[in-house]
Amino acid sequence: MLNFRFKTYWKLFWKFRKIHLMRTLEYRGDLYFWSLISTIWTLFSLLFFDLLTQTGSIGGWERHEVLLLIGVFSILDAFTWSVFYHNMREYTRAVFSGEFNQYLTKPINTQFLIMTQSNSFNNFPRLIIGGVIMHRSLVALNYQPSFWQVISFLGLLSLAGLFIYLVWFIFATLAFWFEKLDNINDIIPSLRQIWQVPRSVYTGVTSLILTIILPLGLMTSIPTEVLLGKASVNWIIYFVVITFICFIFSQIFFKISIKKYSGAGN
Amino acid sequence: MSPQPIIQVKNLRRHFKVYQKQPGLMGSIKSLFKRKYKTVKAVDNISFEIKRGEVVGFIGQNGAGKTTTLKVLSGLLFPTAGEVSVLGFDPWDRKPEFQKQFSLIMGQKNQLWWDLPAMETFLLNKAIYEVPNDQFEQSLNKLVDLLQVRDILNIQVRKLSLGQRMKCELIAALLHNPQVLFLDEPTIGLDVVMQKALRDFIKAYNQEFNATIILTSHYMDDVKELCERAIIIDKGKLIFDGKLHNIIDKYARNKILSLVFSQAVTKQKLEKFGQVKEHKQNGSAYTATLLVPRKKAAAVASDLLKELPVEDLNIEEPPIEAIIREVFQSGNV
Amino acid sequence: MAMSKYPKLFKYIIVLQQYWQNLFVYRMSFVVWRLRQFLSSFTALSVWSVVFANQKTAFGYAQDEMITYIFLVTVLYNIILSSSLNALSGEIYSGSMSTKLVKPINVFLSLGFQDLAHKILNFGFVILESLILYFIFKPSFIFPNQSYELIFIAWVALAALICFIINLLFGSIGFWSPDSWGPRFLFYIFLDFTAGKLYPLDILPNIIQKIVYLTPFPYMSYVQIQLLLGRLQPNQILPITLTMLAWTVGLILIFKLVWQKGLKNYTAMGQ
Repeated sequence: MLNFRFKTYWKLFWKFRKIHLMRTLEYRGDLYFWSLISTIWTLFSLLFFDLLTQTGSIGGWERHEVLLLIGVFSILDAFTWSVFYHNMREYTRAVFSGEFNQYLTKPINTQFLIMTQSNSFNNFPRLIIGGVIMHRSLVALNYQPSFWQVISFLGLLSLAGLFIYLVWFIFATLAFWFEKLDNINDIIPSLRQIWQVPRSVYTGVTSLILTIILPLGLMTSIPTEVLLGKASVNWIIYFVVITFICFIFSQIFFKISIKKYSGAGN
Repeated sequence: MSPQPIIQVKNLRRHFKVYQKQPGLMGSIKSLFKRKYKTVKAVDNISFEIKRGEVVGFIGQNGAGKTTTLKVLSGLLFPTAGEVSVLGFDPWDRKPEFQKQFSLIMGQKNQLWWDLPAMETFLLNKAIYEVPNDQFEQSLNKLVDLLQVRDILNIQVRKLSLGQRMKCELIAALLHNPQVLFLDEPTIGLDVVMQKALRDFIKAYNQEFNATIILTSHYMDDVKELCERAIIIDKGKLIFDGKLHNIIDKYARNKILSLVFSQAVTKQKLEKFGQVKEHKQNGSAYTATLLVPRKKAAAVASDLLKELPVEDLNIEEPPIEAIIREVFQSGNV
Repeated sequence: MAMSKYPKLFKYIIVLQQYWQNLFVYRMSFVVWRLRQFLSSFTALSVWSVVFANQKTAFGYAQDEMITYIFLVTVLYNIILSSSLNALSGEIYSGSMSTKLVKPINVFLSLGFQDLAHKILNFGFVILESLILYFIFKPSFIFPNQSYELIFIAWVALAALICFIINLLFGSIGFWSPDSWGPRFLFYIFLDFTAGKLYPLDILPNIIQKIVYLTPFPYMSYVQIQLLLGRLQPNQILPITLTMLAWTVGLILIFKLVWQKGLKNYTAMGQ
């Protein structure tokens, strides 16, 4: 029985991807424009940090380590923009307009629908650019990560993605509680500035807030540190634990919010 | 032994908190600190049972509680009090086995993907509802033939006319062969031709699949054409549950004739034809409104046209509010 | 004569009041906007603080100077670049603008007052945010002896005007298309890196600086702050002033053309 349902979800997941691919091809101009914009943005950031690190290190991170981080950030960001942004936007839009009813009456797990029903391909170039930046930085550092380091890196990067998604999801779920909140979906994109820099940039109280209480500062730093073999086990464990706690909280909050939902208008 | 009813509602209550804000700048500032709430009883102690294959109409004014009841039956809202059972399930559990057996169609809400052919949405729903291939083919063919849309399935939805889109929305909602249909204001915003087409389709669907259908509307015509049984809800309370023709014969006795004349016509002349409700002269426009017994309306109208200088004539149902008022005033039947 | 002017002004004060009132309803969206700005300055300050951890100066700036710069540019940037005209293109495209064109209220004055209200609100919040940033970063401010107050005010006014016209231009896109989001986004991306919000423009390589100075971006807050900090040569003041005037006049002319063309198009479509 479980097996059968897995097949359903698997099929449905790819059906959604196919639909969005078709839609993207319908609006090729958009695809080119946004690909260009995201590429420009990445290059600007790269230039800025390249410039900044000419004078020395930033918080103990050498030049190419910082650039490696930028590469990691680009990949993570490409993913969050391609997947999370559009899904969360559809989600909040559906809640405000009352169309969310459709999510609730379908025989598919609501959160699965929310998470997978939409995506964009506009940030695809950034995945490639990020990969290239990573490769070149590693070469410049004369560093070859081991197999396990790569695996851990991918694992932690996925976990970072999950954590960002959960925070975003929790914020988007506030749509059930506040009306006219069309900008709620833009809080998280502004927060990504926090994990664009190495975590050692944050000191004192801000370090407490951004690396412990709401550890957004760890998103790119921990996976990168793991790749470079510099990570401390304590931080990794903390990272995993906090993501798990966030997950539990998001589930509870979602359930409460659904209960509150009254279906806007008709 | 009579079969178990498909839908059972016992003492359903659903209350809402509505937030009130005072106008003006001071009101806005106050609202930052303290909010006033009012409890609205959208559904106030309603009970009924519906058997398989019935087509039941929920009638009531806007805000009477019809849509709220439907939402409870579909599992979208949970009851403040009372018990609800549909197909043996508690809708609020939202079990997939339950959801695969019903369909909620609310007005003109779309689920079709705008930039793609309708077929793509159908295939998506096929995946969502886990409809096996052969069943999908069968249902699709039946529905497509019923609605006559075979040649537009592969055209992008945005290029379709409103009527075609509506038909495709219906197919998308019914592909999985739901046993229970909840239709909320299905004909709203449609022209007369489309309204009729939709009603014919619903009738056909009910006959073909023996589906149980609840239909809400504030148009009497919707309910008249499709439902043998009607439930009238007013201000959250159930004030009538029974055969529709009882209400119509008893309370919607009259039809309203609105007339515009090219010359002045005296009130006495009009009183020959029916009860005169209104008789006005607005500059050079002479208008009147008559109440005429339902059965005689058409005949009276043709007489008026023959004998009086009528420029324009309209035959209308009394508004549902008037019917409800009458039902309510005379107490539960 | 003076009395007849009073009721006219009153109209626009109502515009201001309604704007603030609407903002309470949309309070969350405003908060999100402020959060974004705050985080931008916050991360810039964090990064710069760390840069100076190992070195006394960088790019010709001492830590105090850099931090002061970021602080001041944050305040000014938020005032000059805050705009309430983001929805303008949508309003024009949907036709809701036509009611405003018919009412006996000058559209541009009305929009200008709306923008002013928005800037005042942003000013209030940015001061608050700056206090928070102050407590986090505890900078020591450096002010030069000689400051050109009048020129500073003139430059700020010009920059606000330039920004206002640019936003009107984006709004005019509404005569032809419902979406001005694309070009505006591109604009803000360039602005992020060329207006001197995250770093003073003189840290950029010369070639790039030359390119940047071809755009109006450096004049949106960078030159004003550099003036205030005494980092401009006296002989730069006139050329900059003239350039800003040229941008202002040029943009106004372009806008007039675009607006008139747009209106023709608009009425032709029977909006």
